[in-house]
Amino acid sequence: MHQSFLNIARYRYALYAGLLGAACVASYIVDCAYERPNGGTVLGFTLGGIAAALLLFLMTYGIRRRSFRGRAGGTKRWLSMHVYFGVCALLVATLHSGLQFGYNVHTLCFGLLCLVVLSGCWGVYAYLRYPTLMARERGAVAREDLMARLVEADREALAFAAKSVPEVRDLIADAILRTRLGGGVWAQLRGRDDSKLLLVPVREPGYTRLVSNRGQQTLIAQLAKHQATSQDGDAQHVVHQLLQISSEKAIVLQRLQRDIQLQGLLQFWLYLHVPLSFGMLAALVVHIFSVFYYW
Amino acid sequence: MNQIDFDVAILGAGPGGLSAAARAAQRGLSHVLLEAAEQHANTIQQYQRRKHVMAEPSMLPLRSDIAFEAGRREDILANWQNSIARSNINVRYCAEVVKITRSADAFSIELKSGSVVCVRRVILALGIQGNPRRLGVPGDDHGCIQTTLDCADDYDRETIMIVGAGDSAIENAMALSRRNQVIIVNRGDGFPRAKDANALRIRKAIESKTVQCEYGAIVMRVEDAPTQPGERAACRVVMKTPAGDVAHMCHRVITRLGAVAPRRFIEPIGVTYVGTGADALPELSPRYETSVPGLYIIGALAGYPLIKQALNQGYEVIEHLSGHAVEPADNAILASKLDAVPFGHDVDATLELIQERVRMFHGINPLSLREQVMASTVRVLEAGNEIYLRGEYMDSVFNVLQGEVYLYVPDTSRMTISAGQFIGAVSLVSGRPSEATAIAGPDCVLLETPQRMLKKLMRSELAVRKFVDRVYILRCLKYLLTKNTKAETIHKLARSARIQRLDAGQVLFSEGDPVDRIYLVRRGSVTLSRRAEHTETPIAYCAAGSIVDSVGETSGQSCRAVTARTTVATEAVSLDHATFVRELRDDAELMKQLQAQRAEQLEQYAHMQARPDAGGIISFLMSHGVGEATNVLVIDETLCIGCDQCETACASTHQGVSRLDRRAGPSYQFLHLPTSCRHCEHPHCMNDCPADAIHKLPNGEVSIDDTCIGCGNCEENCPYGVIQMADLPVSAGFIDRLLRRPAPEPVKTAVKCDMCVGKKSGPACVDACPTGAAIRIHANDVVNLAAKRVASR
Amino acid sequence: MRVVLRRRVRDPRAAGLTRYQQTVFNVTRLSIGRGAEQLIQIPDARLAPAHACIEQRAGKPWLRALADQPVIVNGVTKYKAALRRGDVLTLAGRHLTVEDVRADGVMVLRLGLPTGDASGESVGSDPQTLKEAGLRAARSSWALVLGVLVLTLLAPLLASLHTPLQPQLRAAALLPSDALWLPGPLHKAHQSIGGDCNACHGAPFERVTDQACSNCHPGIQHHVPMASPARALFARMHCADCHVEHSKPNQLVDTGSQSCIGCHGNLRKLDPATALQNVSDFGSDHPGFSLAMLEPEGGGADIVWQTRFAQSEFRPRPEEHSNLKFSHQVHMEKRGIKSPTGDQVLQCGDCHRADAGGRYMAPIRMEVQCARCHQLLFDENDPASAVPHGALGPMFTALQEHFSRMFLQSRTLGTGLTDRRRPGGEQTVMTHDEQRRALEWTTRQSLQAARELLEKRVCVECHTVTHLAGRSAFDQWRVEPVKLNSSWMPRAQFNHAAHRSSTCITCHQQAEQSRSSTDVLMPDIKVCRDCHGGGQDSGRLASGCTMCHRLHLPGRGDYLAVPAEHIAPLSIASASGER
Repeated sequence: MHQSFLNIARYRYALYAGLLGAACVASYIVDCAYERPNGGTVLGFTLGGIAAALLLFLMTYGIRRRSFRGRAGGTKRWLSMHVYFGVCALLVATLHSGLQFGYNVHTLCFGLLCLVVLSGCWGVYAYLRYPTLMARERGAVAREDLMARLVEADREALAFAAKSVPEVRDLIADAILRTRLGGGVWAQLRGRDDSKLLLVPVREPGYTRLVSNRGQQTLIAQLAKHQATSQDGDAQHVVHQLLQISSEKAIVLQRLQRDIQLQGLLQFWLYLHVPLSFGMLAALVVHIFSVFYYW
Repeated sequence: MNQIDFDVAILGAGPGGLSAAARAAQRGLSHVLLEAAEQHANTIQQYQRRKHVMAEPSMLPLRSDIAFEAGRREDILANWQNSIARSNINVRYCAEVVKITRSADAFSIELKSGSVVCVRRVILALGIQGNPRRLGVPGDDHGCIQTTLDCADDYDRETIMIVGAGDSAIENAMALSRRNQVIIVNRGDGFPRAKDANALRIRKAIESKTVQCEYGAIVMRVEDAPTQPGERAACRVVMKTPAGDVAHMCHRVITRLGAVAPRRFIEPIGVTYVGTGADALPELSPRYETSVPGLYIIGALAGYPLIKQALNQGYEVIEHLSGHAVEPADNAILASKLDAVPFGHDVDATLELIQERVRMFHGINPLSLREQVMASTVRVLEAGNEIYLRGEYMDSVFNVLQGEVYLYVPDTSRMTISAGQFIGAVSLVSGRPSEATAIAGPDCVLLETPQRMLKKLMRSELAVRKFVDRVYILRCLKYLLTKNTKAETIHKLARSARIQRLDAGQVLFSEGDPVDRIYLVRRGSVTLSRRAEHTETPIAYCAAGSIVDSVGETSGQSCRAVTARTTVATEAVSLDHATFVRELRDDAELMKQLQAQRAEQLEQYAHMQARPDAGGIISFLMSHGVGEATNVLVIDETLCIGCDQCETACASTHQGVSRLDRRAGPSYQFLHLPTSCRHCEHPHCMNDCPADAIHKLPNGEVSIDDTCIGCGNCEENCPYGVIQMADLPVSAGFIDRLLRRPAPEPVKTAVKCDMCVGKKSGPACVDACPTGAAIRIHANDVVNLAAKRVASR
Repeated sequence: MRVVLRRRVRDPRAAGLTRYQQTVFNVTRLSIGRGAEQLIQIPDARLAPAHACIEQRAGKPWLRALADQPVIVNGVTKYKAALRRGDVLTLAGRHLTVEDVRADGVMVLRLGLPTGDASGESVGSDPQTLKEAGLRAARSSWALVLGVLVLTLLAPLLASLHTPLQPQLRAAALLPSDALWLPGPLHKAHQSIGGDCNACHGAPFERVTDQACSNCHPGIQHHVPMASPARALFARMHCADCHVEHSKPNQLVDTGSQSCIGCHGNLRKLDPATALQNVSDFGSDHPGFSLAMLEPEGGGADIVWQTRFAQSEFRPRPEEHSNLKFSHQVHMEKRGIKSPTGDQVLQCGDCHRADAGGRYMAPIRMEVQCARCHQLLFDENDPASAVPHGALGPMFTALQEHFSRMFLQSRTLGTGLTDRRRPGGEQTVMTHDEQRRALEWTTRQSLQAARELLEKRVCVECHTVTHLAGRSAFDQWRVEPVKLNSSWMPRAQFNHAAHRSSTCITCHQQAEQSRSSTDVLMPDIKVCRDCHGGGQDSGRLASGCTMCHRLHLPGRGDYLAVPAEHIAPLSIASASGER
């Protein structure tokens, strides 16, 4: 049945990566007795070679993901390998470095590698956690449907408002106009409702203010006030309808915002992981180059 | 006795009619060609534009004065137009026949215009499409009224009224509502005839005021509307509604009231039909003469849906009428097919021989026999050759012409099928993979006939159906019972056996019913459920091939403890319980077998009752057609990251058209069923494919081959909406690209999941899923899946 | 600033009627734009989220475009403008008219309906995926890659190739130079080189040459004699093989034993005829110490001391022939030993002193260590009667002077040394006869004393004195020359200072029992192994090869004298190792 990319084939790739890592650690310990750990020793070169090979292999995942006719095993196997061997690569690279760090390109390469692996781990976490959350939040409704509902709610609200007094009409129109969903990267990740509302003082004198309309609360409060103050029955009925619509809209809006936020969180790490890995690759090239340039 | 106007009247200017008329003109036979529509070949006229029309069956030679070869709709129609012009055919358009009455030796044909034509013989070449039902109210011939909609985008900013509540009506309404103001007139107060999806769409549209709807409305009359000069012509439709009479001004009225089935029109004349089903066929002589002497039926109405067949038949009938002996066009082919058969070389003789030898074909219409043989192939096999293997999906049936065939089934004795009997009964009826391995005996000759042909035959010939059912029951019993069951026992049981065919969601038996029969699911599947505080919780699932509630049946309880409900259209063989127990009480092995099954089901019961939500999952999957699936895509929402790799992969491996829609489709308990082909055991899409382009392959795949003519029937028929009509780009040849020739226009064809057959790494969607969210399962895995899901939580 | 905004709105109920929604702001800044947080929000893609603003300047309303899109004021595009009554701002097809600017600073604006097309929808116009929000993995990837390449590849390359710029680049702290490529800091011994990579790294992609090292370190001695064909074994070796630079912990010499054991682990393989034994680990298979023994060859005056190596654990134990008579037992007598100042208990350190470095023992000198007790007196009663140590000549001279002085003294004081003197006669000048007798007497006395010293009492205690036959007078004795061994293990280095914690006896165990100076008191390898283990011995002090041995041995010739390719290959015939 369904098998996550982590435990595919009974954690086979975790095992392989683990064995490789263990072998490297063992040889490192043994070698320590004979010579100072250093990238330049025979073992150092070997580990470096292994690490470089691993990194190149990891980079090829991007290609595999985009080639659909390949027979090179399922993509989830590749992802599984990508994850486990990625962690393994960091270990091997650490051994290769002999824990000698400094202000130089070699340490830069290592640091980038660390960041890449960290972001990767974040990615694994995201992939394991957020899809479930999203599915739970959304229920069985797709985002498109929620969106449609929102638009529908707005249309209904406008339709009802048309039957109401101008203040209410403007209130509704403005609230719809200034409803925020999504926005910039930070706004999406933060998932906070930045909706605003232009508060036109009804009846009592005062100045127009621009106030937050988070979760349509201000709007609802205003409508409630209207309902309280309005006398004739059908006006009250209209506002009552509007209240219901707005509160429903608020719910839909919240779900949408949550969905957008979760989706953002689910995807954001990749925008770190990919650039960092390419940067790391560049640094790796320079590292190898410089080592042999001044041999 | 009024005098005869014409020798022959040909009804319907489709391919058959045209061909006949042309031939008649050649032979100098006095004839008239009556066409209800205003142009010829109405059905083909309604194909969508630039559709590629096939010339199937390719091996059949064309014998007609009407030229025809595969090509674009436009070319073919133009072509025929020319031939009509050239050969002096006496054709009358817009001559709808209302009634045909038969006098001593002549027919009088009453036209809608009121005029009457008297002829000696009548050839009915009407298609099966029938005439679109009219409003049947004053003014229903108003210029603004049309019965078809070619292209919705032709109309803009019009007020259009659509009468009808069927799928076509709704689809037109939705398509038009994009640019026009649409009023849909619904006789009832819902859309029960429409597909759920359509009904939902139209309801949404009506709520959102994009489409206006008049419920419970009956059109009274259509009349001209006063229009200012320069304004579009319009009409005024008056209708009776619950709220009183209402009048609507509109520029256009599209009536979608379905069609008058031709049968209604033909039977009164005295033509006898075989069978009662919607697709029953009239009884025909080898010369296409009906039970009414002088009345002939050809083409789709006679059960020959393909253009070429119709053309040939038109030709043949006229030849026959004009007293020229003509042997059917397929003779040559039949001869070549049959020369492998060791008895005689004359085709007719051989056919007769076959008819009397082969039990199945006893007393069937020679025409249909011809058709059967035409579609079949003769196979001469060495002793010991494998005919088919256990577990293969078959789409053909083998009649043993000579020699014998051995069936091998695990833990039953070898079964010998001698000449005259046939094999493949089980998968013919149940659509399951074959349960036995068939090995050819000494000098064995088989007639391999496609299942679809036999199904057609069974529809038209009741005898065949009965025979097949009986054989089928016997085989089932043989497979079920173990070897040391005596033949007479089996026959005794068989006599008590009944085949029950139920639609989806029907109840086989319900909790508390007496245990009087034993049910063997042969096709489809059944869920067993217990009633627990007003809700039925499914506790087991019986796939085809298993005994329903063997617990209840073997435990000696007097009444059922569960309710058996079919998940899809299901077929079950039921035996009399008492007889069963009496006869087989002392069959140790069978008992052991039953015990095993029983234990299994008991375990399931316990398992599922412990986890009611597993039951929920099962009923969810079942309710969305996984019950009849051989291979369906299921997405685990807890793993799906929404990267749409599956779709991208599918598109990039299938001419850039993705055959699945990940977002669409239902979800339940983190399980998501995207809209993609289920590869049903009895594919709904295969039901009426005129070009017979849809097949079920041995591996269970339902595939559409390139003979598809893009009619869109399958799209209509698929209850899961997984088939889409796509304009597949025809890749231009290298030379063409070199010469900068314009790329050929895309061909409209039906596309759907093909299980990525031939792709080493399996289906692309599953292969490309990075997180392992996508898997493909078989109906039998459902219980397993549900249990795993619940356990994992 | 007080603003009255009259926004024209469509009235859905009565089409065609115009209605104004009036709102009053009291703000310092009236923001206009597409964004939800704008006071005048005009939802139109053509406007920026924050498009423009109107503020008070010198009491006058003042328009300022915030995005770099201009605002059309009275049909003229402007980025900033003072607003007067009647001005019309055009914003995405809407007209914002300044109806009035009152004296009290109140401004009245009228916002019209969109003329022409205007996109009305607002929800969903915001980006709702990160991609829509403008995140692009490819873009940032390129940026990062190029950044890394430029900073860490191109700039350093420039620094290393473009000589004119080199100094500035390397000098500047912030500018990226090939210092970025340093895997680690220079060893402090090399700090003097500074930032000049090319001091050692010559051509690119070429390992550091030995020449580079020898520029500063000339005359490094080879491991094997330059003459020996065994030199060929070192043809492929470079300084950098053992001396790893830029590596932490900062330590230039490879203290690991691997490179030694590489050859010495199985030396026969390289040189079948070698006399050296295989060593792979001090703890287990290090051969016994072969001591450099001094062997006198020839005798008497023309004696030569040859160095012979002898395994200490061979039986009979090797004997040292230093021609010195010395018993450690006697000297280390627990009850003490007689000395001018009475009996005294000697410690090792009373005689054996470390040299200035404390590493080796200073050579034993008679004058320093022995003379205090061993005073060379020929007359016990006369403490002044000491003869000098060293060659015999001076000793005889000393004796003769002594006795002649005595003779003269006796003559003046009249002490009757000689035969009785004649009465009455006062003589000042010795007669010739007297002189002769005096000389005889002196000589006789001296010879007697000398014999006493050389054959009986003083010298013979420590020295071997040979009596030369057929010689007379002073020539008849020869004291055999003494040579004490100063380095027993010339190929190893032992640091006494490092072993201060233990007593001399812990290692030189036989010292107290030794009676004869022929005993070799050098400790056996077993003694060392009590404390020292092999390369990675955990129980004892792990001791690699380099703890005692050096690669560059003195007196082997300049390491870099002959370039590798000119070396004759090692041939069995001449492969005598190095003896």
